[in-house]
This record gives sequence, structure tokens and C-alpha cells, in this order.
Amino acid sequence: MQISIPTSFMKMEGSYVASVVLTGLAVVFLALLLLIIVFKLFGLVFSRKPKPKKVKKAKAVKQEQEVKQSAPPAAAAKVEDTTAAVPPESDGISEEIIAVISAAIAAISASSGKKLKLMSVKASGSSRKLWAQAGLNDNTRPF
Amino acid sequence: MSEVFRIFLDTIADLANQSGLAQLLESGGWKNIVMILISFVFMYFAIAKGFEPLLLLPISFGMLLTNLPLTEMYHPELFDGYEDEMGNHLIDFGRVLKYGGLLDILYIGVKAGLYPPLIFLGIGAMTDFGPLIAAPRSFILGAAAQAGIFLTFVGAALFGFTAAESGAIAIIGGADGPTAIYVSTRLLGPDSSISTGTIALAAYTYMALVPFIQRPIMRLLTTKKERSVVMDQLRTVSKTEKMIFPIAVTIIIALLVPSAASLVGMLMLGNILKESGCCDRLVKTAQNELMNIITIFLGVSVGATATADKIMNKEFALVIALGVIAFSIGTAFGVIFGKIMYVFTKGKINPLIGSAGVSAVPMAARVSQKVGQEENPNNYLLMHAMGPNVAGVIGSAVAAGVLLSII
Repeated sequence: MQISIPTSFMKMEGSYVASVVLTGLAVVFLALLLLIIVFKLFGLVFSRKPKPKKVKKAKAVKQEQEVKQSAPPAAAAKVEDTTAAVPPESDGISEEIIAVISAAIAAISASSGKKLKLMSVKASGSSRKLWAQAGLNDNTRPF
Repeated sequence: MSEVFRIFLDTIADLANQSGLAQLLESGGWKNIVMILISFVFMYFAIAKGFEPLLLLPISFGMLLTNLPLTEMYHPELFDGYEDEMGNHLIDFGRVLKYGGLLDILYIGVKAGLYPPLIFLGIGAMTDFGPLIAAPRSFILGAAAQAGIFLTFVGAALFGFTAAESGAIAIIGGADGPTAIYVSTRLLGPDSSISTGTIALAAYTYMALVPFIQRPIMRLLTTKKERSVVMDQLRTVSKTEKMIFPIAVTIIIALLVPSAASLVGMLMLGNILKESGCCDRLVKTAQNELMNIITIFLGVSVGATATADKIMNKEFALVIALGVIAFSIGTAFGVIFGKIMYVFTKGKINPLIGSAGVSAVPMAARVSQKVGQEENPNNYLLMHAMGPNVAGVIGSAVAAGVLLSII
């Protein structure tokens, strides 16, 4: 028995409509399935890499802890002395701000290996406000 | 003295006859009045109800401008174009620039296919594809939700629309405004019974109504147990992966569906600008100034195409009806594929994230989150739903490319 669907009111052939739907769905699924495969593979590559690093890191942390434990307490006390000291000339700037600046300098000295010491903190003589200065830097920075 | 008074009265009468008000009161002018009232309704939706106001407000205002008689801002006949000796349909943009009004000139950007890809550039600069990279299976949900587009194509064909009109109506199911505008301007010609404005109005109205359309479908198709699934946390995605993603997607999609390259390519350019971290100034421009300027141009010029003869007909009512069907089918297929994935992963995937496969970023993902939290207030599906959501953007761009190349 043949079933015929009346399509006389349509401006397109029924077979054309069916082909658009089939092609459309097939291409969209194919394209996105391909992306799934590609990014699954990427995922496998990228989620594998960090593993050995983690082991190394864990070892490094362990070693650090061991060193810390074996280090004489006097060394730690010395570090505290240099970072916590408020410089004699602080221009009325709060201790919190000075602590932040000291921490930044300590970080630089730790990474560069040079011994740096905070001697004084002075308010900038520039009449330009901080945000205005930031805006100026942003606009005049080369591409 | 009486002569002066008579000339004065004649001049006033001439001015009155030549005014827009006289045109409105002439036969047929009532259609413009109705269109102006419809534009007020859409303005109300945008301002008072917050329905995608960034686009719906410029669109409705464009609609108001185009329906005010004698403003000479938009001339649809300038875009009718002509056929060259090879049979190609061409538009003389030089003629538009010479004789066109403000909205004609702005509309060149739509007709030339310029604005939607530039909007995609901004979207790419704002989108984090991390959740999709972490769970590439989300692409399946993004593809499934595009079924709404192709099944609505059948519906439109059954109602007697031409292939081009059916394609333009079907793309509303992609739930992506710029894609809908891009496809409809390419497919619809001067003889079409619907305009790009009609498609844009339907698309943006339904995108704003996503929570109301999707929620009942999601609840109807899922069980309480499925809605309560708490998904595992997504893996962390490295910066390198995020930078490779836009390049790989562009190459794959452009090679497979070249006609989708301008949309996907711009989306991915915006994304790599963001992820590279070296182009802050360009990212800021793409996300803000460029996007906002294009949004205004796109909205007001697309709104201008909503003239009385294109809106006040039975085709407009059909577009509105088919648009909601397209959205509903897209949502349903997303959820159904979510359910299939729920079965295959032995209950690890919450099917609610499937509905986010229709683009509508991030509204559709928020709906998944909200419906999930109705069952379990401690269930956070948002990031899981963002995967299918951004996959939906890529999926609808691919579907657009397919429609453009087939029809």
C-alpha cells in the first residue's frame, strides 16, 4: 500500500524539504562530533601533562619542609626583624601600607638574590592623582 | 491686507497637506498608525519588562521612524537590487549612498553581512569557553538543540512559505539574534512576504521569554530524580587549551562549512584576543565600544525594515507562532539528548543542562541552574550548563552556514 502525503499547498517539493532537514542535522552533528573528538584528545594530552609536575612539586614541598624543620630558629627570627621593622622616615603612612611595601621588596630580594632594605617611605610630590596617573599611563602606553 | 491673509492661509494649508500628519490621515495611513502603536508595545516590553532592551529598544524605535510618513529615512526599493548577466542578484550600494536616507545607509551594514559577524567578535571577547573545553561532550547538546531550526523548516514549508522564507523563520530556533539577522538578510529578497525586521522582532522577543518557554518543557520531559543529579566538578582548563580552542574551532568549522566561517571566525577572533591576554585594548573595544555602536546601528536599521506591508499580514502571525515552536523543539531535543547522556553515563549528567544547548547566552544556562535548584537548592548547574550554552552558539552558526549553502 502506498501512502501519499498531499504537498500541493507547499511551494517546495516534499523531498527537498526532507533533504534540507537531513543534510542540516547531519552536517551540524558531524561538525560538532568532530570538535568533540578533537577536544577529547586535547583534554587527554593536557590533563596528562601536569601529573609528573605535581609529583615534582610535592617532592619540592617536602624538601622545603625538611629544610625548614632543620634550619636554626635564629635565621627565621632575622627575616622577621627585617620585614617587620618600620623605617624611621614614614611620612605619616600607616603601618599596614608599609608592611605591604616591605613584603613586595622582600619578594623582589628573594627572587633576585640581592639584599634590599626599606629605608624610608615618602608621599609622592606629584600633584597628579593616582587614578589620573593610571589613566595617563594607560592611554600613552604603546601598542 | 486680505491678500496677505489669503496667501498666509494658502501656505498654511499647503504645509498641512504636505505634512506627515496629512499622510497619516489619508487612506492607508491607518496602517502606519497601527505600526507606530505596535512599536510602542515593543518599546514597553524593552523598557518596562526588560525584554532584551539593548536590541529591542533600538529595533522598536527604528520601527517607529520608518512608519512615520515622509521621513525619507528608509527606502526598501533601494535594496531591491538587480540581476546581472550571470543571473546573480546584486544590490547597488552606490545608489543607496547617493539617494538613501540615514537608515538606508546604516542598513548597508546589515545587507552586506557586516554587523552580525562584528557582534560575534564582541561576544567572542566576552565568552569563556572553559566549561566546553572541560566537557567536550557538551557539543552534542549544542547540536541537538539545533533540531528546532530544521524541524521548524518543515513547519514553515507546510504553511506554504518559500525555501528562503522557511530558512529565515527556522533560524529563529537557533535563539541567536545576530545569526537570525545574518541568515534572514541573506535569504530574504524583495519579493519575500516577511522582512528581516519580522525575524528580528520574533527572535529577540522569544530570547527574552526563554525562562517562560523552557521551564515547563524541561519539567515535563524530566523526572524528579533526573533533575536532582549533582554533577562532578569540571576539570581545570589550562591557558594553552583556551588559546588552542579558537584556532582549532575556526579551522575545523571553516573547512567543513565555509559559509559559517565569517560568524565562527569572528567569534573565535574575539575569543583569542581575550584568552591571549596580550590585547587588552582590543578586547575592551570589542566588548564595549565596537559592540555598542554596532548594536545601535543593527537595531535601528533592522527595525526600519518592519514596515506595515511586512508586519500587518498573516505571515507575521505565522512567524510568531513558528518561532515559539522552533524554540520549544530546540529545548525539547536538548533535554532529550541530555536524558540519553544521563542513561549512558549511568546518571552522572543532569538532563536539565541540555536545554541550554539553544544559544541565548547566558539566559538558557541560568534557566537550567534555576530549574535544578528547585529540586535541590545546593545543586549548582550553571557552569555545567554553560558548556552546552556556548556550544549552542557554535552550533547555530554552523546551522546558519548549512542553511545558507543549501537554500
